Amino acid sequence: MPRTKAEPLVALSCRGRLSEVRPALADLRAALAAQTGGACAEGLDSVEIAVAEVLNNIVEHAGPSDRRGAIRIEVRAGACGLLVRVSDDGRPMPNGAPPCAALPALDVPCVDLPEGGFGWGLVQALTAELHYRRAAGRNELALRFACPGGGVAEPPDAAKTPD
Amino acid sequence: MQLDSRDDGATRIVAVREPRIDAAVAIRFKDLMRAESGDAPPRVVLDLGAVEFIDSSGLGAIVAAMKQMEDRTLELAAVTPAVDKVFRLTRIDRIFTIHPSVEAALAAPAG
Repeated sequence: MPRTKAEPLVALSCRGRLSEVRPALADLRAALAAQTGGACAEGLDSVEIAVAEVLNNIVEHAGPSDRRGAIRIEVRAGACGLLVRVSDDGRPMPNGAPPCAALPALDVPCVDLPEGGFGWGLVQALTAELHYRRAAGRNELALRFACPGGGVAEPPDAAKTPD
Repeated sequence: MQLDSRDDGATRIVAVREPRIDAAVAIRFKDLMRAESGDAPPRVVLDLGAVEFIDSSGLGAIVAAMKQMEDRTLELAAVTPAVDKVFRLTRIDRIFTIHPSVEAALAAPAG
């Protein structure tokens, strides 16, 4: 993923608590909407859904943290889409990598239908690139969204209908 | 988290009065749905018209709600764009009958 030294479009942080996920997502969406003039609501949906899954995962698995800045979110406009970097001060990912992104199978009897396990599959499906690294005692996830931000003129991706 | 329900013939319409079904409310949603379905007619339609956002926890809670329906059916109605996106990407849209509106659900045969 190309690194950019430009100032982020959006930078925000929160504690690693479930109660802070909703407000952080609302702040992120409002800031992005202001940057993009409200264009590309579908792109904003994609970012919000993917970042929600990442934040839920941090709060649930990396461990709760009451430190301010436990979670940091930065968004930059890259040449080929929106770059979102989410870092946290929690435990590293097991095996040094994000979990399996395969979506759970649905061709099973009703009683066996999965009630979870959709999160990473969603993140994978919504992003063009996804990278994880552990650096300076923090987890860093870098997500690239093909949908435009910061005035990059591309149509929203409509090619993801499964049928 | 608040659900409102009304019966129309053999169908119960359960409307979610909440803009988000996410990790913060998923368990509450599942519990409220269990209470709604206890004495429900054979068909339950979940009106998602007010729900603007769902995450994987909320999605799991809807699947859980369907599984606790026993011999009733759970159908969905009035899905908004971001929720539809999550349904499509996870392919959950293939296991639910989804109606464009509550009116369309009531006009459709039970499925």
